[in-house]
Amino acid sequence: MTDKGTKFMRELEETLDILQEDTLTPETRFRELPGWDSLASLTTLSVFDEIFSHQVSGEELKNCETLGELISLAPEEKGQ
Amino acid sequence: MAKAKFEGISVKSVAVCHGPLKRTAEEETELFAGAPEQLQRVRDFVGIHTRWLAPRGVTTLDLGEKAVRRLVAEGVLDLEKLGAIVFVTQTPDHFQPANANLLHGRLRLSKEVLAFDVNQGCSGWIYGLYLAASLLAGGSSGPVLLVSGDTVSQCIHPRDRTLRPLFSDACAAAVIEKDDRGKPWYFDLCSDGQGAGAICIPAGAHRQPPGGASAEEKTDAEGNVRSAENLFMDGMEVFNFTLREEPRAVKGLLDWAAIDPGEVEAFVFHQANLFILQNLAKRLKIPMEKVPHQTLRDFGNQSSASVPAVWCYEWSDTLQKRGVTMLSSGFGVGLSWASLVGEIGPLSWAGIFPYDGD
Repeated sequence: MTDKGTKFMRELEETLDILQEDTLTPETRFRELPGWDSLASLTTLSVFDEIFSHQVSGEELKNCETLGELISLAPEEKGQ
Repeated sequence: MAKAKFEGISVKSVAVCHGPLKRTAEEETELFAGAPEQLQRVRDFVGIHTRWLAPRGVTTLDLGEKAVRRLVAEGVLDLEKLGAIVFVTQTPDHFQPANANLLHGRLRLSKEVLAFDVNQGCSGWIYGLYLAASLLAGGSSGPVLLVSGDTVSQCIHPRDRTLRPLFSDACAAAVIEKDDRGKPWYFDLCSDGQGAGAICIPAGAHRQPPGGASAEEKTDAEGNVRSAENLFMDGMEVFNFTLREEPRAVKGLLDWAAIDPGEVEAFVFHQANLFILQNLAKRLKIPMEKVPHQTLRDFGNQSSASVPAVWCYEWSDTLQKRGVTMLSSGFGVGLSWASLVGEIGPLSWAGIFPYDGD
């Protein structure tokens, strides 16, 4: 994972009020986090686009179990 | 992208009539039974505190007629001089005839006035202005009356938690005419029909007639109830579409018009929700002070009446004193998005008010 992947997780923690600082890892099964809802999913799309300048569709997001899987969808994370 | 430039055309006056029933976000408790913190979260996310609804029996045409009659009462619209009526709506009284013709009849206008409807939603105000400018440039015999709005709340299932906290009912009316002093207007109008399914009422028209299976209520994975006759919106796809197309379109239009973003006093975006507006501001690197959103907070998402509602609610004092360089932009159902940059005003009258019956 690149620095951007880490930046993405820190930014997500800061943006989403249901998350605490430094709690997300590539292994985090984000959908199982307490309070996770459709607003959290939308926020995730927004932060992802901001950090990686790449859009993830709702379908792609739904198919990801962990944050690591999600981060690997960014073109620059391929093969990292 | 379809770009167009017009000169010598001005908006003279604007009125917005909104639904009479006030609903605050706190009143949505039955939608979020047992989860008040969820209600709070939704309110902060979408940025809507109050909505104004039209009861069943009050239609877009009724709201639109009130807006037009207000302009007449204020002495800023002479019905006898009108050349055309353009009515933008997706919630007409009938499939046939058009709202524009019904309004023509209610106003007892001359037979020399042409009248037609345009089926557009959140981008509709800009499409309407573009058509008004085109009619005037093409030799319309008199001013164009643009009427634009919807009663979207009536298309939403009462137990749809994703859509119900968003939409309000309203209709705007504006007089657009030739004006030698009018500064240039620059338009950009776009479509993506392949994305049409992202915002859709699947049934109730000719493809899938109403009743029977169309009216059957279903509950989705998140617990929202709707039938195929209700409005459906894929929030994530609409969000991606908006962030993909809008910043690019706005930048492209400003470049083409050779207008520096710093010269633009307000970026009046369709009042979709606060999350979208904040994201657009961030992508375009403009401060939220230049992106009006009080109209969203106090009126909700008013479909194609939302841009004129911002003009009438947040900018009415200034617009009645002087011209303002604005970028106005709508995006949504179609998919469709359209922007206008140029000087709006000075307006002889601008106001927003609730429907008051007869």
